[in-house]
Amino acid sequence: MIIKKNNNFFRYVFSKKLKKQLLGISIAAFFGSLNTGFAQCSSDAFLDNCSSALEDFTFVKSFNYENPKGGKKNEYSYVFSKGSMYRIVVCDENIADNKMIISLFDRNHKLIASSFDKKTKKHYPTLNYPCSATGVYYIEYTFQGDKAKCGINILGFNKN
Amino acid sequence: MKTTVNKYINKHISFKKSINFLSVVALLSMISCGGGTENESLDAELPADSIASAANVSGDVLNDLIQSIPSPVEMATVIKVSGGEYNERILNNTDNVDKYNNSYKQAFNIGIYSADLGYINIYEKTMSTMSYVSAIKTLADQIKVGQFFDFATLKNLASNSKNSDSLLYISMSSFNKMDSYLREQKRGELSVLIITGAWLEGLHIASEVAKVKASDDIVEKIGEQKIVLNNLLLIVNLYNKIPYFANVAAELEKLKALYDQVTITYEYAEPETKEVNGQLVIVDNSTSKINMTEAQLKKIIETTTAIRTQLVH
Repeated sequence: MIIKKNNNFFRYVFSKKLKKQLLGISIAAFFGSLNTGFAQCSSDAFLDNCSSALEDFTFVKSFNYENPKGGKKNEYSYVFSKGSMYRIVVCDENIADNKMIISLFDRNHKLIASSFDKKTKKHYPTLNYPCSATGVYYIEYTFQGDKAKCGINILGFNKN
Repeated sequence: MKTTVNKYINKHISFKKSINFLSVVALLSMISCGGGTENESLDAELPADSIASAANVSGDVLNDLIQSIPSPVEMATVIKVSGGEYNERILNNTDNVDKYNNSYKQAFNIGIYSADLGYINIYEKTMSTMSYVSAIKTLADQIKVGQFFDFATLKNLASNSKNSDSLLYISMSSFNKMDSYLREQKRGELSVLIITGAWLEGLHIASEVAKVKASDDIVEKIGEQKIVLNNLLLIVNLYNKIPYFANVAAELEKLKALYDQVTITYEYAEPETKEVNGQLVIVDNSTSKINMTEAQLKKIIETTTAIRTQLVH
């Protein structure tokens, strides 16, 4: 399913659906400036911008991370359903050597995948997970380097 | 409760978190030992400091559990994809909004209406959107979180059925902000009620659909709520000194007793990953199976209807 969608990426870029989403997101950014005073990555505009990576996945939740202090929890859990497709968007301030990394673990805390490939040193902006086993999953975030850490992680889902 | 906690420890959280959580439960249990008066009203509210202390102690655990509860929009999507007909009569009538006269009922029914709104938006019935947004806004104002609902924007978007995606995005992100705000303000108990209401309404809608046509997807979805219910009960029970929560917990325990008979079996296989057009796609080779008989399903549906009727009216 994802392969097919990605082959149609350019068609999607110019599709009515994207225009519609961008319109909605722009309106949300304009009207929804309730949390003024937060750092850039905690702003509605930052969230709205990152949400575009969801494409046709439905927004479920977002998690802001801003300079997490030592010892602070860096993991959240979510119940994923068999038969649903999930997309985890990794969105940070794009500072070199200070990228956010998301790792997905199953209910037994076994690593399923990470947004950073250690072999190729490549960072992926999204993780697509077609769930085939219902259960609690754990999503952990870390940052490379020790510069300012700020980012958003967005969870979306889809069902076909 | 003890059994539930043990299961939770084994399956869902690390040892360190478990100790933290057990301390919370132990502390709250000690607080609860005083009990309430015999004539205590279900609507009675705890002094703010009592609530705040519960929320403070359980901050991380509470946040983790709240965030783990799936969005009711997922349930609505499964219903639509599996061919379920749209039926507005199964939703909570917005005329009921004036009945909810304390913050607990208001929060719980924000959750109920939010699941209804998700269902309406998934089916792109934007004509009905505004009455539900309005009901949510009314209740949200009453518990002082109405600022997170941009009524004017939602109204504009609702005027055109082609805006259902944006409506869904804005309403979902509004709930997200409201939930974060409530927890930041040490009013996590209201967040708990919102997500409990939303979860129950999602299960109610699925149950009503299953009464007409129990497709495999819907049955699977109803069965897997066993996992969610266990997490939900843990957080509802954190506040069981409050009579309203004690009542909700007692009702949910009836469902849990039924779900305890449902089993979920797993088969693990190593996952694989591949890159597709620059995106990382996971190939999950593990599987799960919900083992639930027709009789168990029927009981769960009946009990869900009864609980929802009791808590909404």
